[in-house]
Amino acid sequence: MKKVILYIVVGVATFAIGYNVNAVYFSDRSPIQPIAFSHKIHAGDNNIPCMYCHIYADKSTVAGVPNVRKCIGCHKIIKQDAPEIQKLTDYWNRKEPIPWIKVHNLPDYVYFPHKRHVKAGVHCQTCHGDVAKMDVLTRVSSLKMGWCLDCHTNGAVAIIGREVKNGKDCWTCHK
Amino acid sequence: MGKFLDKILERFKIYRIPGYYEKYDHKWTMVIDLDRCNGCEACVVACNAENNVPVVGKEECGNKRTLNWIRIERYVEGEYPNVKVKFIPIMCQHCGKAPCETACPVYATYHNQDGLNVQVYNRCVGTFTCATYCPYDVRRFNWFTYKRDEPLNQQLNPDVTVREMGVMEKCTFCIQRIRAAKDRAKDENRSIRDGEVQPACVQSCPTGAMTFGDMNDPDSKVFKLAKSQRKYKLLEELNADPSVIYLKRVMKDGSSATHEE
Amino acid sequence: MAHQQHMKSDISYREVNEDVVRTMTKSGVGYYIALFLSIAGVVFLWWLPWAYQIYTGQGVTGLQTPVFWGIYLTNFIFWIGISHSGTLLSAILFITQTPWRRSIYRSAEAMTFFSVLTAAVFVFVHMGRPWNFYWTMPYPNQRQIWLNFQSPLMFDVFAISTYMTASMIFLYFGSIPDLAAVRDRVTGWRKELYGALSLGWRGTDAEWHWLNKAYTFFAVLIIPLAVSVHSIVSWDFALSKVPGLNKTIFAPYFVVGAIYSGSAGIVTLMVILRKTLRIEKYITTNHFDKLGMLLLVMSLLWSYINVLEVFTGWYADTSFENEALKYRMFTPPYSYMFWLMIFTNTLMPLLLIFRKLRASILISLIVSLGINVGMWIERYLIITTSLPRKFLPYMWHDYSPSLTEISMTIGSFSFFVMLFLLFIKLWPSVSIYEVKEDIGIPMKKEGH
Repeated sequence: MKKVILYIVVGVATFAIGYNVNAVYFSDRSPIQPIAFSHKIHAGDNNIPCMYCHIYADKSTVAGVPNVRKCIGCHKIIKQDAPEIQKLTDYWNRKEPIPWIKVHNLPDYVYFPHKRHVKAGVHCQTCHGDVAKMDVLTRVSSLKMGWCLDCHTNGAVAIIGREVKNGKDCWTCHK
Repeated sequence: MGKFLDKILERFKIYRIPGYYEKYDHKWTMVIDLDRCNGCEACVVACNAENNVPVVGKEECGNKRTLNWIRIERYVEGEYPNVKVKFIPIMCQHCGKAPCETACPVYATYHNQDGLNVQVYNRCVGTFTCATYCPYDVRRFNWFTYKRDEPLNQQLNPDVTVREMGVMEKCTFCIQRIRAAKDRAKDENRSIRDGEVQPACVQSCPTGAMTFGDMNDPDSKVFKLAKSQRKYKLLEELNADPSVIYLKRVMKDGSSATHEE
Repeated sequence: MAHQQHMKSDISYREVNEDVVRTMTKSGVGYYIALFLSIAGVVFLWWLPWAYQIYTGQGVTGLQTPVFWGIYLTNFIFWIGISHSGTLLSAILFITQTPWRRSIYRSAEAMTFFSVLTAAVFVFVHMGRPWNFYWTMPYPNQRQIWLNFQSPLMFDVFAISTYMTASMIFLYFGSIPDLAAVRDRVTGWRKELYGALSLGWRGTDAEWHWLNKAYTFFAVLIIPLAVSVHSIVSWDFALSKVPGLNKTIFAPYFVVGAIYSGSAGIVTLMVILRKTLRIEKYITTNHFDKLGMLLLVMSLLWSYINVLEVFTGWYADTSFENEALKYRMFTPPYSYMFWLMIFTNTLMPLLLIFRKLRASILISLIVSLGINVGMWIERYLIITTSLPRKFLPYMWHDYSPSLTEISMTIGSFSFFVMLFLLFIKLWPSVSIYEVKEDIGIPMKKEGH
């Protein structure tokens, strides 16, 4: 009997440790980007609005990652000697796009228009968290279907003041 | 508890009573004029391109595993030289009382608020039941993972998902175009105009045999065409209430011909 | 009530115990060869092709656009059908207090459980994305989607899982006293195993009382369950609009067919068991006589409903139904299969009218094997002659199973054999206590 209890305890402990190691070290929530870009410095300290860089957020399904020209536009002058900016300049000189790793990645079968959400009055922070305080960008939402449905069923009233039309229809969000 | 039961009863009551779908936003309908169809199969090609339908190759075609969402059925009558050939394009009929919808155990196929019979690919578990129940044989199954060679993967439509192996798929009346039109209309704060939505097949038809529109709108073209004396629905006796209306072909001697005769 | 005996009455209690324990502990080389072959069959003919199919896709089957159901569904219905044997023999005959069930019901119940297990695996085999099978179960989920309770497949999931659980419990409850009896007569790991399985059975009056209650309860419960299972399986087909499938007669047709094929399966199994386990004194020609009567009755019933099924199609007289019937009855190769089915299922069982032939083991074996083949063909015909002839002639296309499908079919039979081979070694395959009941109390006998 003692043996059985021991097995159970060891099993549970192994699972818990493994789960946490996986969650902390192998999660895709805050991947290491090719350039240590800090949202805190840009959006937080310097108060640059989100839509200055992510220009398509209210026009298209995707919010848009800024091209290198946009970065260089400022960094031609600002902090040129910092090592991370050197990396940026290298990309610019090589005429290569920066291989950013997508943090908020949705599966192919999901249709998510940024435009509709922004136009309905959902703030960026509702889903993306307080980006202005993040040195390394971290995904705060689970991006699971249940999380989407929290708003699409009845949570939307608190955020945009009305219910989502056809919010629970499969083909509203799937393609 | 009583409230819960009432809710269930309510759902039973509203389910599938004739006219139930009329209170919906739209009732998308297609009218196909067989007098004008010359069987050029442009619609088939357009559909393949628009909806990321894989091309399966000669061998699989022979096994009847083509994935075309729309097909032109050809029926040849008589011996040469007195041959009569009839064409009929058949795609998912988006039945009002669809047999396939009762079949799916996981609600991968259902009727949405636009009167469309839609298939949710990522919910499908592949029991084949919907395809078996479909009297029109329009459902297609992804038998394998179909690969697209290097330049061809660039032409995939980003608004349509690429279906996984083991999933049923079918014509959607180009729901991504309906969605885009709705989006546009919402931005401009108006309702969708008649003819604004055109599925790929309708758009590509060189003779204009196909018309697409909203049956709930009495001014729409389909509403007027549907009043034609030539109208009939495919396999109407099965009482599936299809959303595709065919207009009979009238022969030179005045006789009219449906494909079924 | 006069006590009717079905075995020789000179068997002593000790002999029964020893015989049953012998079947479990002593096994010859033949047994191990058979076990090895069946396991090899399962691995190489079923699991490996299945892995290949999951990896490559359903395209490895012979299925195509109009014929989306093929040999997998045939096997599914066939095994579900076989599973009705145990229920009928055990539950119905238990309730009606029929004494000749006693030496055969344990194997029959095991047969039920194993065949329903085989059938359940076929559900997953025929799915396009079997790794998502749990979506067919009702459980609260973050996606907030429920199941489609209109779907006959949904009810299939419930019916089969319930039936599987119930038949397992039924089998287990009935064996508890025997497991205890075996526990007291074996040594080593077996003692530990049966000690745990027999749940500390001591054979007190109270225990017998409660066991009897529980067993009766399950016997009553399992009969409507069995009827519902095959009715629901039939609705998978009958609810479609496909000519040849859309028939109201389907539920009783399937239930009768299931009991018919199940009984035939039992006869086959009994012939093999009594030879291989050398338990001829417990399963006598008397049993085959009774089972033969049962087969005869079911055969007549099945034939009647089969005629009705054809009749409804013919009477409807639509071009679709006529085409489906023509395709099934007069187009080779299906016509050969159809008439072979009529021969094995309607004509051959008529031999059993004669008592002499009923008592003949060889005739019983031939007839029951014929019925099993015929019933498999029946299910095959229902699916593969209806779907290729649906409404639009442009889409007509014949079906022929691929090698993968055929291999998995053979593999499923190996699976069943494997389970049964394990069963006869790990479980008392003849009910010790009920056989003793049948022998009667020795003291009384001495008084004669």
